[in-house]
Amino acid sequence: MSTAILSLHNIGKIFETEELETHALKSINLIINKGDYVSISGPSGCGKSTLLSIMGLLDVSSSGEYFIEGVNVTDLSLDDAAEVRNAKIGFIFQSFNLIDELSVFDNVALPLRYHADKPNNATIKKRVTECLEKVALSHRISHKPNQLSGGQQQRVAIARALVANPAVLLVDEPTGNLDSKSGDQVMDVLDQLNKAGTTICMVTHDPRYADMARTKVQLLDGTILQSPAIKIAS
Amino acid sequence: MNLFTYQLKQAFLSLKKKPGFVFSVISTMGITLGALLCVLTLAYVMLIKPLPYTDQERIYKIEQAPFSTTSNNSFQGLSYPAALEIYKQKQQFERVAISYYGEEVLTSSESKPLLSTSYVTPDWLPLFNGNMLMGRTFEQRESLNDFAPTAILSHQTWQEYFDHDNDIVGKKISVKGATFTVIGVLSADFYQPKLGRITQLYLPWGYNTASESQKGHWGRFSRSLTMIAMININFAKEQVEQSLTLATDELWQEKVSSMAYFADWQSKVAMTSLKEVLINKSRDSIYLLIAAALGVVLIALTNISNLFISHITTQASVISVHIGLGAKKHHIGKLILVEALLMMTLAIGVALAVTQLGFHILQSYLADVFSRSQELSIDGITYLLAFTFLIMLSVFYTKVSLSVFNFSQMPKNSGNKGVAGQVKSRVRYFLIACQVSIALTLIFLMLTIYKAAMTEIKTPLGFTSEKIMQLTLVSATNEAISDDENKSMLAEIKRSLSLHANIIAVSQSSSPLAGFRVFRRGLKYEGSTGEERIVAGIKDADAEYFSMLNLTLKEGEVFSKAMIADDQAVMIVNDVMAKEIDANGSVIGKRLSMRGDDYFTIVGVVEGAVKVPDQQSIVRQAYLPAEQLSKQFIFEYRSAQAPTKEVLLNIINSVTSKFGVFEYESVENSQKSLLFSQYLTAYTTSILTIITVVLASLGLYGVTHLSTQMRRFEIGTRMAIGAKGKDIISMVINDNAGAILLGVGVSVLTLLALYFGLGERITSYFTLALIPLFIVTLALISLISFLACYLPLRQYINKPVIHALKGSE
Repeated sequence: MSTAILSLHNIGKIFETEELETHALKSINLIINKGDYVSISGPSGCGKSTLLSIMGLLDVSSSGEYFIEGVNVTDLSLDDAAEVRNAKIGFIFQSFNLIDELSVFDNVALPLRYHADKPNNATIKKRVTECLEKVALSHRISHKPNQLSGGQQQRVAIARALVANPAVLLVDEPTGNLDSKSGDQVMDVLDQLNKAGTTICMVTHDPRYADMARTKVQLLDGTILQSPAIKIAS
Repeated sequence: MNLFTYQLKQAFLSLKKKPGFVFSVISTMGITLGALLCVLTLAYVMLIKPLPYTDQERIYKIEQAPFSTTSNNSFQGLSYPAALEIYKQKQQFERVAISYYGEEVLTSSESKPLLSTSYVTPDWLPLFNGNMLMGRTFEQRESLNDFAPTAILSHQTWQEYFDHDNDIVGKKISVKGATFTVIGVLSADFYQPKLGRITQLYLPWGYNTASESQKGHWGRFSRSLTMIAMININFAKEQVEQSLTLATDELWQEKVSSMAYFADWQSKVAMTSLKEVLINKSRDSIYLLIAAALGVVLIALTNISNLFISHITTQASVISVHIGLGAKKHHIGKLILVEALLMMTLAIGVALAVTQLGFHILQSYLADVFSRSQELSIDGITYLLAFTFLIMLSVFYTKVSLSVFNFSQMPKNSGNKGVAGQVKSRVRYFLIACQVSIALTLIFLMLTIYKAAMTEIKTPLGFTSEKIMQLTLVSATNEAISDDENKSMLAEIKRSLSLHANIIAVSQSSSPLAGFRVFRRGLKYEGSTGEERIVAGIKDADAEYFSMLNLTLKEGEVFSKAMIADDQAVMIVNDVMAKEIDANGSVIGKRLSMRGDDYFTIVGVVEGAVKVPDQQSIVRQAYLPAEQLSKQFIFEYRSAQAPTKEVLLNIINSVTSKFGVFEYESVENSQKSLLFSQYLTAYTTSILTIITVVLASLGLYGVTHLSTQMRRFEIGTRMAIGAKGKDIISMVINDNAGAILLGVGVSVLTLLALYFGLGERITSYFTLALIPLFIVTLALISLISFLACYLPLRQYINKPVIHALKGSE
């Protein structure tokens, strides 16, 4: 039986200004199980990134309930949410979000430094090296991000997302800032990671890459369009 | 339209959209530069600018400087006979003149005003380029021993008391029982040197009011005497000093040889350039003001640098377009320079207005401290400084703004969203270190000086000053009055005053704040070898003095009326002095002598010491019976309000019309006047401290706020991968801690350099007791720094992470 990693029940998100109320997400129900590779796609402004932010505890929903590995995380405090993000979620951003002043090693090691049970330096070194090997960048360990190409930077970001052994990788437009060759390389890395058992949920507007996922979710106007492959939370 | 005009127009239009930024820059730089311009112009006028007198570099003040050959005792001044002796040595001088200050009632005037008078020899006014509005100056016929009854009026006296009378020359005026003919009126542009009081009436030397004993006494130095000379062009100052020393020392030793105290003394002649005399003690104050103004300007500079950086980062996209179109670094620099020039020009305009206000304050309230403040005006030097600041600051802000951008990467990044200029970490580091070091140094120095001033202000006087008035009478008649008649009139005035319903008690003594006469030679006590002397402050007091001021009698008795009336040789000492005379036993009945075998018997001991501002070191105090001829009174009044001056005049006139009121004020007001410079110091330092704290807080907040804004995506990313609020706070504090510690280190080194560099001038302020104050200042700066780190972060760490990450894609 599949184990639910992320479970969203009737998640809604409303953005309010003084004059306007925008329903970015409307009653989203979605379950992502261990080992899934889910792509979320849809036109611009359909709520893809908002959904990913809520799934990654970067933002809070306006309504509904959200569970990570069976634990209700809907109303966590900011600090508790930070702990959950650190332990359970690995992020990969469109613009890599590496820290320019830090070396590749330090960028990748960063999640471990914020870990509740901060591992010792030897463990950190071992984990960072393993993750960089997975993305074929162990030879760039001492470089600064601005010394790497865009594709290499994104692979460093993938290594950083993996380093704390998260339950799921949340990936936001991973190829948005890359040329097609680098984009393909990054997608290959993600594919291999999923095949090795990593759960991935990816937002993309590129149908070619969306098709690489085993489960495709189409969003339109904040609502999931039904698809045979989608697991809907009951 | 040429390129510069076009750029100027563009800069104006660009700045018009940012009124807050423009206002901050112009007001901050305008006010602080105004203060600096004012202080630097003051420094120029006081320390560098030549005096407005012909050959001013050859004009000197001449004094005697007797010194002990066996101890470190020495002093400086001028005795009447020595002045005359030096005056005779004319071959070394191109001009030489003596002045004796006095105060005389202009009896020929209906209002009988008291005028500051100078009795001068003929060269006095020509030495100071004393041009006449009308009439003539003194001539040889009004010289040393000639009694030509002539007078010269200052321009102000002519205006104020003679109503601009154009026919005043040749008219008679009455001063001190004698009639003088006005021979001239000084021109309005006569610049009178502040060598003492400002003179309103000049009379010939021969009429001076020095007493006969003073005229013959080589050991009696007078503050009323001033001797000024322009040395001959062929002589050096040292030559003249040596020659005058040779001419007077032997004579001085001969004349004071009867005084045992001066047995091992010699006298030399000391000459001080007139410029140095006028600078007097103001040099340190000027340096302090420059340091304070520079400090505040530096803080403002770092604050405004930060604003410029902030402003320029918002212009990054525009600048990227320029670079994309082929503009090079110097083209961008010109664009920024025009903006900076425009704002600095406006700031300098404000600064000149602030400078003018500063001059007005200095001339109105600090003329006594800065003797040449009347020469202050916005002139070539001020404009030159202003222009220099304008250019330097415009270039500086342009450089700071350009330092934000990495021009080699700009074209590549120009198409990316969110690529603004980044505050280079070394720029941030420098700005923070500057803010902290300047603020810490300035705040500590200001608080130290404030504390010293407040300590003096808060020092208890040692007597009751509440509801005590001080009154000084002045002779208002031309008639010669005998001492007996004077005594009788003064005693009657005292009696009449004491009978007034609002007056509780009257003492015919000077105010306790008039201070003590310091008897340098010391008092000898009976039976001592002559070497054991007690240097003490001496004051005259009558029977009512001690009870009125609540001076507690510890032993013996206070002066009785009989002791005063009979002028008995009795003395009251304070307990500090009593302990010095006899540490264990009673001093009542012991006898002290001021000179020879004229002994005073101690009849009483009072508790504690009276603290007179500026005389706080005089702790051994003795009282002698007051002279019955004293025209000074103090009295205690009963109701909430003291009797008015009119009431007092009525009382005095009911006794005699031969006395007028010279001075009448409360002892508390007199204390405030005496403590004026301390109050001024306390106000100035507290205002400067507040300004420094505000500027430093804004500056530190500005730097960290901008830096935090620039690091928004980094902060968001860190939080996205698990950093908590406290992790982000400690990261920002850690990042800034180095700069803060560097600032603290620089400040400590600066303070140590000041301590060792300025030596004695500052060691009286710097003591170990200031360590807690330093810790408090450090804590204040640390708190400001912490808040500067924390406050800009709140917008990110207290909200969902997505707020920090918005736009990062």
